[in-house]
Formats: sequence, C-alpha cells, structure tokens
Amino acid sequence: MSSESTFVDVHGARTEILRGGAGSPVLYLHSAGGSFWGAFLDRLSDRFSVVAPTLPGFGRSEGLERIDTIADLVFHTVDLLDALGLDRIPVVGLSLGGWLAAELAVQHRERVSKLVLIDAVGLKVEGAPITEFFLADAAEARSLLFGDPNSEIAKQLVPDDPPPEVLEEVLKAREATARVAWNPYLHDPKLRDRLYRVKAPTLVVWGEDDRLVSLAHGEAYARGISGAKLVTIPGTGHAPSLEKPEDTARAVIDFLAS
Amino acid sequence: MQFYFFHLMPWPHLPADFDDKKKHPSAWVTLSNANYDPVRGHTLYNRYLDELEYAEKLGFDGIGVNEHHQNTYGTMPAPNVIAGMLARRTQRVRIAILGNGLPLRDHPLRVAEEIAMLDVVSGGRIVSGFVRGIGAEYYSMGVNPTHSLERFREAHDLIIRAWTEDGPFRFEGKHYRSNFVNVWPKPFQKPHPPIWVPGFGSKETVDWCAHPDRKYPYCAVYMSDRLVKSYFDMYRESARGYGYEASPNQLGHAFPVYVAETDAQAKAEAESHLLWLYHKGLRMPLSMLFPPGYVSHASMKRILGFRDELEYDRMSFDDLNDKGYAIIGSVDTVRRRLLEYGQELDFGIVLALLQFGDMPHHRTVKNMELFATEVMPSLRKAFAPQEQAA
Repeated sequence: MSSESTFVDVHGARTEILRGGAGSPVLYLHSAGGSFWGAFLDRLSDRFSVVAPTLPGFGRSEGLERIDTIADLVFHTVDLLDALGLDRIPVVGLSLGGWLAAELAVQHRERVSKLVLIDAVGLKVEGAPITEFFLADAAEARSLLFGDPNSEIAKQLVPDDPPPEVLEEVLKAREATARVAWNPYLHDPKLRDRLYRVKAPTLVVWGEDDRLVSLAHGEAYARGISGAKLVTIPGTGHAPSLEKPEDTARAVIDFLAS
Repeated sequence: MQFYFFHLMPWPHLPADFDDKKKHPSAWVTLSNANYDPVRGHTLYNRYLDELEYAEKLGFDGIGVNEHHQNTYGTMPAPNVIAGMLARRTQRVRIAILGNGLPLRDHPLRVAEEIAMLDVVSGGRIVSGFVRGIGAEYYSMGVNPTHSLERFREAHDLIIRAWTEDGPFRFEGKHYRSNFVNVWPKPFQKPHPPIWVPGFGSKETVDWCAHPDRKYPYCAVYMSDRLVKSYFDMYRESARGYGYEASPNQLGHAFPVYVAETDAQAKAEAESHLLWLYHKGLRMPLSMLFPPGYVSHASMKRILGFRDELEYDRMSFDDLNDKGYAIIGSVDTVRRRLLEYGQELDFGIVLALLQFGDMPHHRTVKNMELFATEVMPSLRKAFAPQEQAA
C-alpha cells in the first residue's frame, strides 16, 4: 500500500495532501516531525480513505506566514476541510497533530465525528511539564521520542547527520512547530478548561513510556473529554504509531469502525 | 580607524568540573546560577567598571558594553544600566551599547526612552547598537525565535520614528502597538545616535544594514579572517548593489587582542584566558545558538557549511591566534597584524576585547596600556589619510 501526493489551494496556500486507501474518509494530522506515510497509515488505509495534509511550513506546504498560533492552524484546517468538501469527518492526530485535532473538536465540534488523540501535546498538566525538546540533539531526541532509541525506525526518522534534503525538512519542521509551540511551550493554556465542549466520541492512545509528554497528559485528556477511552501501547514512547504501527492501528481502526 | 575598548564582564568562577562537557554542555541558559556569588560579583562589577573608565584616560575613542542573558560568558543582561553608570563617570569617550536585544523586549519604546536618556545625559556620546540577541537568548527569555527577525525590524522602525518624528503619533505593527508614541526625552544627537549592528552569520542582516536608508556599520564577532572577509565583502557587494561604495567606517570587528613584550610572553600570559573564552564561555550546543526559525533555511545551511569554523572547542591557542579569532603577540606583531588586517579587510572600527575570559585585573591593565600607547598611535597614523579621503 502506498500514498499519492496531491495539492490543494487552501485560502491561497498551496497545501500538500497525502492520500491512500478507499472507503469512508479519515483526516490524519501529523506530528511536529512532519508528514510521514508509514506502516500505521498503510494499515489505516486498509479500511479507510486516509487524507493526510501536510501542515503549513512543513514539507511542500506553504502558508506559514499566516500561522502564528494554534488558533491559526485551526482556521487553516477548517479551510482545508471546506476546500476538500469534507463536512464532518473522523480526525486522528499524533502529538502536534493531536493538539490540533483536540482544538478542532473544541472549536468546530460540528466538523468532527470521531476524535483520536495519539500522545497529543496541547495541555498544561501540573507536575508533568512537557520535556524541553528544541534543545535536544539527535541522540537526545531519539531517547525522548522512542521507547527504544536504538531501533531502526528511530535512527531512520531522527538521523545523526541528515543528508541535505532531509536537513531542509528538519529545519522546516522545527520552524513550523516553534511558530505555534515555542511559548506557551507546546500547549494552549485555555484548552484544558474547554475540553468539555468536545462531543465527538474520543479515543486517547498513549505510548506507555512517553518521555516527552507523559501519560499524565493522556489521562488529563481522557478525564476532560466526556466518555473518552484511554488505551496505552506497551513498549512504545512518544510515537506508538511509528514504533508499534500494527497494535496502534488495530486500536484506532476498532474504535473508528465501531 | 576608531578604537573601542569592548568589555563582556565575564563570570570567571566556573564549577571545578566544568571541563566535563557531558555534565556541563553549555555555559548559557542551563548552567545554574547557583554558580553565581553576589559578593564576588560586587568586586567584579566594580573592577570591570574601573577598567572601562580607565580606557578613557588611555585615549580610546570609545568603550563598549553589550547584552547577554543567563550565562557565564558575560554578566551584562542590562547594558543600559552599565552605560548609565559610565555616562556619568566619563567625559569624552563614546559609549557603545552593542547592543540592545530589540526582539527580547516587551516593548521597544522602553529602548527608545533609555537610549535617549543616556544620550542626553552624556551629551550625545551614545552609539546605539541594535541586535536580535543570539539564539540562546530566545530560550532564556521565552521570545519566539521564528518572530525574531520581524520583531527586530518592526522595533527598529518604531524606535527610529519615535526619535525623529514629533509625537504623539499612532503605531500599529504586528508585534508592537501604541496609540501615543511620544518619547520624552528625545536623543541629543540628530537625527539620532549612530546605530551599529553586531551580527553573526545572517546574510539578511548584512543586506539590511547596507541599505542606503540605513548604512549602519556591521560588526563581525568571533570569526576567522576568512569569514570576516566574506561578511565584509558581502556588505560591500550589497552596497554596490544599492549603487554606492561602502566606507571602512561601515565595517567593524570585535576580537580579543593581547599585547606583551614578546610573542612568547604574550602567549604565556594570554593562552589560558583565550581558551577560557572560546572553550568555556562560548560553549553551547548548535541547537541553542540557532533555535528554530532564527535564521532563514538558506542561511542555516550556509552556516552548517562552515560549521567547523564555529567549533571553537576543537581549536588550539595557535589555531585561534593564527586564523584571526584573536590577535595576540608582541607590540611589533600586533601592530603589523592589525595593519595588514586593516588593509586587507578595509574596516574602520576596531572593537578590541582587551579583557577576555578569566584574565585578572593587573594583566588587563597592562594589556590596555601597551595597546593604547604602543599599538593604537601607529595605526591611527597609518589609517589617517584613508579616513580623510573617506
């Protein structure tokens, strides 16, 4: 299985969209690492038509000049749904994408039919601050992101000396992330108090050993969203969908198909 | 050629295990201020101020201070405070504040006010440096580095207007707003104090300085001869692109200088202090020096291309001294090298770091005296005709 890349104009910003699979559509929002189509989205696209936009400033998507806050990304995402003619859709988000998905479900609840948050940033949880990430070098980043920092996928996605084309992607991803997440650091101080507004059935998926955004954040999301279910994926860190794509996809597909 | 005595006010009392880079990856941001001792700090600040004041007696054209936050490299988070002390204790020298980190402030009108106050009190002796602050500052102060450049430009525009236009007027920018811009006092110098821009690695900044609306002197810092030359050439090229020839007075360079009786003695006396500066004071990971979006991707890739020239901790004393990261030697050597340097690089502003690292007071004074009496006069003479022509 693979994806195809298409482009759509979102309020003047050329936006890349990776698509794969068939069936009813699911919106996937990527992490701060940028757009990546791997085994997790392959599995998801076995059952659904996956629509995975690249957020502004990442990869080949333009429009970062209009983005200063997470609220701007929410507007962008709503414009994107309008441009694609998607009225109401299940939304799956990883990390930064999870934060965006949660904001979307809070602010535009009529657009989100189901919500899946995977190791989402976005909340401030007393006693469990999100670990400083921007200072990390490649080795430190691997140990923050992955349950097993020495795994092949860890080295592939966070290489020590990236070749020039990868370096370009890394620089873009860091800038696009910092734009909305430098201060307040990877969260929206008002989001937690507004989670009650989420009406979509919600699944919260968390890597059991997430050293960047601890499980306390997953529990806070699950507590804040009425009826939300929390599942943990053993043996994974901040990105269970990368480390255990089959297990993570099964949990997500079971929830979306139910 | 103009000569400035530039001080960083370093904090030399590092933890005993500071050479352990795993334990202490940085002298900035994360090195705990548990290592700061205000009783020692009291003595040190007053000693450093004495040195800056002494520079006037030795005939320097100016003295220089700067702004950095949360580090052992330089304990001057508020340079306008230091400049305020110097404004009343000196009578003749220019006081260069190199510079105020504009994007780091909540509101640039505060900088406009402080510089105007200093300029009025000093009778027009202020050189107002504007900087973005190095990347580390963005971790310390929480300012978003991806907004750094646009905040810098917007703050600059507001300050210049606040100094040169009669108020009150309204300013509505993206980052800063005021319905009543009406700065009291206005600066002593007209249209406003000279603006210098110390910079490090950004082509965008060089180009912006060279623009005919500004013609701001650009000051290179901690670079090899080769890199300094490439930045000065970049500036001259930008100027030519705008249809004029840049004068040497638009180019400055800040670097450590140490003069002694012989080359061997200079090395013996200065080596540990120079290595303190380059191996300890400037220690920080690249991710700290260049946070996300602090420079354009093109600039970042260019910088990574000469990364080995920024890895100071791999350089020996001889590497640093031979490649121009410092000029250290006998009177004859320093005189000759500065002469060649001035001719080769064609720059007019020398920002001499005559105290660096953990250099003690007696050595600093000796260095200042030798430089001022044995080196400065001959260089002034050598470069005088060129200045008259310019």
